[in-house]
Amino acid sequence: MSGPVLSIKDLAVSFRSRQGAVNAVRGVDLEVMPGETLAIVGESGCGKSVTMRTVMGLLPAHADVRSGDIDFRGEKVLQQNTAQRNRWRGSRVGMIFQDPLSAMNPTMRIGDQIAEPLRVHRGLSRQAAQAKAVELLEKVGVRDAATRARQYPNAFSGGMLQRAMIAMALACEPELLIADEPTTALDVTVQVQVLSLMKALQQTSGMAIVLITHDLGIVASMADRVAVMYAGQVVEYGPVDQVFRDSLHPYTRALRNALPGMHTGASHLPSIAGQPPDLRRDIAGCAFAPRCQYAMTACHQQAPMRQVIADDQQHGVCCWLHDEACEAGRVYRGERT
Amino acid sequence: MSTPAYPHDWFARIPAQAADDLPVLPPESYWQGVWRRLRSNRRALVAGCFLLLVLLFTVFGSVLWPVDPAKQDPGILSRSYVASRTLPVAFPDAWQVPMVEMGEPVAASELLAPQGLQVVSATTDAVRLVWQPVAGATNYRIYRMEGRGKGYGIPLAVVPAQYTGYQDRLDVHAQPYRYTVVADDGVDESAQVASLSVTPTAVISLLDAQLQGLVPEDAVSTDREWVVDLPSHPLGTDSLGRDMLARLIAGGQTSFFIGFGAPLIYIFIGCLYGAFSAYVGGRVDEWMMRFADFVIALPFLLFMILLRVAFGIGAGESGVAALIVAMVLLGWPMAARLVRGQVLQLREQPFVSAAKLMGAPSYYLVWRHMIPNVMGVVIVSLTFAIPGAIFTEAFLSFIGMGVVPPVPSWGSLCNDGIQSMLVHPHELLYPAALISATVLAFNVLGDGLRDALDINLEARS
Amino acid sequence: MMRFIAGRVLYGVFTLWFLATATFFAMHAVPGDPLASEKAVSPEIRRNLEARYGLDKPLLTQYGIFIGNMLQGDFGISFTQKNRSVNDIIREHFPISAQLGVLALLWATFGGVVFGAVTAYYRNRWPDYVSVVAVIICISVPGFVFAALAQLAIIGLNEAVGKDVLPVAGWEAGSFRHMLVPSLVLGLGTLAYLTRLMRSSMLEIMDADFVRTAKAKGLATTRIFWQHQLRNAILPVVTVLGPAIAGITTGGFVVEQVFAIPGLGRYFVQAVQQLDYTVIMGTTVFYGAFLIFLVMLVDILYGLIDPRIRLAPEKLRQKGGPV
Ligand SMILES: Nc1ncnc2c1ncn2[C@@H]1O[C@H](COP(=O)(O)OP(=O)(O)OP(=O)(O)O)[C@@H](O)[C@H]1O
Ligand code: SF4
Ligand SMILES: [Mg+2]
Repeated sequence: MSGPVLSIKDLAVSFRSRQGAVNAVRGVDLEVMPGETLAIVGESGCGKSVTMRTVMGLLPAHADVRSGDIDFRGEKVLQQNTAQRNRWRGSRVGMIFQDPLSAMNPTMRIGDQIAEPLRVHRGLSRQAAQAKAVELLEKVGVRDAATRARQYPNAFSGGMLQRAMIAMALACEPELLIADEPTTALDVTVQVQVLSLMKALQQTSGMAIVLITHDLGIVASMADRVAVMYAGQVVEYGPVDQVFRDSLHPYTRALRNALPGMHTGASHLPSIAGQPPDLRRDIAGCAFAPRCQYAMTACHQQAPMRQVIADDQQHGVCCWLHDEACEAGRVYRGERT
Repeated sequence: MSTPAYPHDWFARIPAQAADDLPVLPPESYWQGVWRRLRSNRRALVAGCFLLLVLLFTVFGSVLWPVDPAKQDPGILSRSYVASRTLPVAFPDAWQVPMVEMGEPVAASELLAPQGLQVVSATTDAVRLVWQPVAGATNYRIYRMEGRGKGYGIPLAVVPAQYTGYQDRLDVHAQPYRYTVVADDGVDESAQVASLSVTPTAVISLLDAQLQGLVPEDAVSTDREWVVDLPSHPLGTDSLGRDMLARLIAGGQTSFFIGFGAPLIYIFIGCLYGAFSAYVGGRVDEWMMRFADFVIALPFLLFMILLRVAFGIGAGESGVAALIVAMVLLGWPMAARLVRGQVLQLREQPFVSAAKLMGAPSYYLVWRHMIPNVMGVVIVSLTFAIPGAIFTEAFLSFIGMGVVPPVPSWGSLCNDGIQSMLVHPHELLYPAALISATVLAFNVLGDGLRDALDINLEARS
Repeated sequence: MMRFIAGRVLYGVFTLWFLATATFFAMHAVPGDPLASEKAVSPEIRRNLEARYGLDKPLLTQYGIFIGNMLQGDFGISFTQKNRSVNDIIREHFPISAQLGVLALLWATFGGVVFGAVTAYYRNRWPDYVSVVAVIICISVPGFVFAALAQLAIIGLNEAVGKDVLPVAGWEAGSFRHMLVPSLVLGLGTLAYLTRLMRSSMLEIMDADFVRTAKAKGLATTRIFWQHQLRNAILPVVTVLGPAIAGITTGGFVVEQVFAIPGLGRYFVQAVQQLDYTVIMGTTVFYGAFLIFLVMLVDILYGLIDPRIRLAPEKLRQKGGPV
């Protein structure tokens, strides 16, 4: 199958609040190809989770999808109701969350929780689903799986719970797995185990993964492509090595430069000077302009267009510096001194 | 690709700082924020104003309405409304009931109706009747009917036949009565009766007037016409003729005294206990909290009753102190738990550790961080503890285990009122409405305060 | 689990012992003389009476006898009703209170859970507003006021219909008509309290992460409700069942009084008013044992439902309940 598994076009989501609408997502375009791992990085609050929750239909009641189009293998997600979504949610798309302890039902046995999607989507009997759940637990590396399946989440460690979450999300062998900061709540050593587990499972099943993370080290080791988000928009995207080596957007560059050293291991998303913009306001130009050391008149007046840079159409950016007419851009890219 | 036409300075650089116009929220202290959030909560505000009114009513009511709540007005029992009146004072005068010689008794069937039944005078002090003797009567029976109903009404007296008059002083009101006089032969009464209707004029007896201090002790009927002004009872009277308004005010004072007194004391004790427990920590903390849990788990009202019985009350005591002591003994653990939890939680907060690192002295930590944060939960628990205490008092007074008469409380007023609920609903209605509305207002205010003190709630919604 | 249950039982026994001891010493601390109500007793009769009730022995001996009798389930003989034993009184009148209480508890828990869940689902729409207002009113109005209002309503109803649809007061063994309104009144406060609790816990659960997970698993809304939300939302309701039972038991004192129902609560109140020591002691200990037993049962039940509690029993009873 060719063509993207998931494509998101011009998605805009806002939250109603007492102080007016919060425009959490302001025109996101993304494509996820079969079998690939797409990483989404960006500062806290830039809209990574909201974007992916919109895909899964998990937005709270006070959220509005303002515009956009989401297509998962021909399913027009935004036009579907809950029942229609439930035909693919949990079976063809799985999702895992940041804090596995709160994401698991505390009063239900782990095995039952893993078996649930199997019973609902595959119509397996209770015994068959249970047996499959134990099998899945074994597959994600939980020892003594038969006993473990009968335990409640409070008897599990964080890492084991996340394994169980993965087993649950993968129970029906989905084509797409959305992982929202799957390792943020875990110890470093456990993080590595969980990530390599995901990688291994991906290799056997050929599913695509969308991996939301703050950790550029994880991006480098896990992802094929990366999308950098800022204030509700994708500002740069492309293959991981290109984006890190030839960072086009000043924000990406700032991130990369502020990193103490991508090879030393301390790779958490570095902080850069200034605050992200207030999403309740209309942002006229480039959202990064107040913090950008290259900001120009244009940046404050009009939002930059998306520019596809690389020859293979893979690497894109939203920044005025990459406008053909911008002289400063040439200096920025080192084409002129 | 053609280059779009841009303005000439389109790519002119603008330093990052110059464009930095991030919105800055005006600084607001914690308590300012609390006050702002509370003010924007209309329900809580209305409840607060109502409570203020009720408090003013009970505190200053007795100044504005200086009527003794224990004073009985025997003339007007269980009325729902009594207007103020100006009444003449009825001085006792010796009235001689006319007498005649008795004739030979005859059987009841031969007795005629008394002739010439008439009213000599009719006041609420006394209604005096005379009639012509009936030949052969042994006794006369006098009946009185309220209003214009059928039948004779209640039997008032049996008068020997030498008397041909009767003076009715039995709880006479200024309302229509019909009197019936019938002769009897000592066993059966005649079928022939005489009756008349009369509406007595309202007066106040000299004794009542003197008891209420309206007329000097040495007043004499001959020096002038005595007329006195009697107060109104805007909310009526209870079954002993005591002014309801004055009783509601006095009852409110008792109820609020208990309602504020007990929670203030036990929350204070709870705070000390909880803070000490959290401060000491370790084993001691564990045992102290275990004890608090133990007290919480006791069946509360059962123990209240027990303690209330055990403390007993001597003569002349109202039982208020016993109630408060019992409530304090059982009430403190909740506050202790809350405060301990809050202190422990705060100790772990980054801003406290940060302040400690920066070398802030401990009194500063306590003053600046602990007290304001603990204050919040304490105030909220106080606003819920007060209606709880009012409720408990009402419950105990209702089953006769609360304050002792004649001291009224809203609960004991309800207890008095429920006896005559079907006939005189106002006696139950007023105190019940006051308890309910006050507790309701406290609950609404407490909800509002809790929301206002919760910074995160605003961020969440 | 066995350890958990054993711990609860031990705790219950200790609480009961404390209650019995407190009752005993409370009764002996009462100023005045238990026999003071006896009219003009001669010293001799008085001595007999004291001997009959064991009042002539030293306090500690009396205490020992008292505890011993309690252990055998013997509560002694009433002071005011000379030929009735306290056990008889309890045996005769407790079943009436129990019937009323169980019915009230049923109304309260079922009503509370259903109303709470429904109003949470209709959050910020009119069913929610109506119930929030109704709940706060029901919490704020004392039980005896509701009892009085209910009686007025019954009278009005009977007059409107022209015959006795419902009895205004009184009791007939096994007659549901006599139980209906008193039990509703008795359960009302607890119902309101549980509705409020259920509503807030349901609202919390509706936003919980694991519900989001369940949605992401593609489960149908009904399945999410029954399997994931309800069970977790009910937990706080289960924690306060103990205090709720206590509230209904003591609430019965008032309701039985107003509706003239010959339950144990009414006798208890009477005994307290008449200072009938043996009846007070006996019924208090009985009520205490009853409540403590039920609370223990509820705790164990809670431990069964919520695996987290078995590991951290102190989590129980951190929320207050209705009085
Ligand atoms: N439930 C919500 N109600 C209101 N606003 C929300 C809600 N969830 C998210 N937002 C808003 O949407 C914006 C984007 O949030 P989102 O959770 O997508 O950020 P994120 O990129 O995932 O951040 P993080 O890295 O911290 O997870 C935030 O600024 C927040 O203000
Ligand atoms: S568009 Fe302008 S402000 Fe935005 S990133 Fe590019 S140079 Fe900076
Ligand atoms: Mg997120």
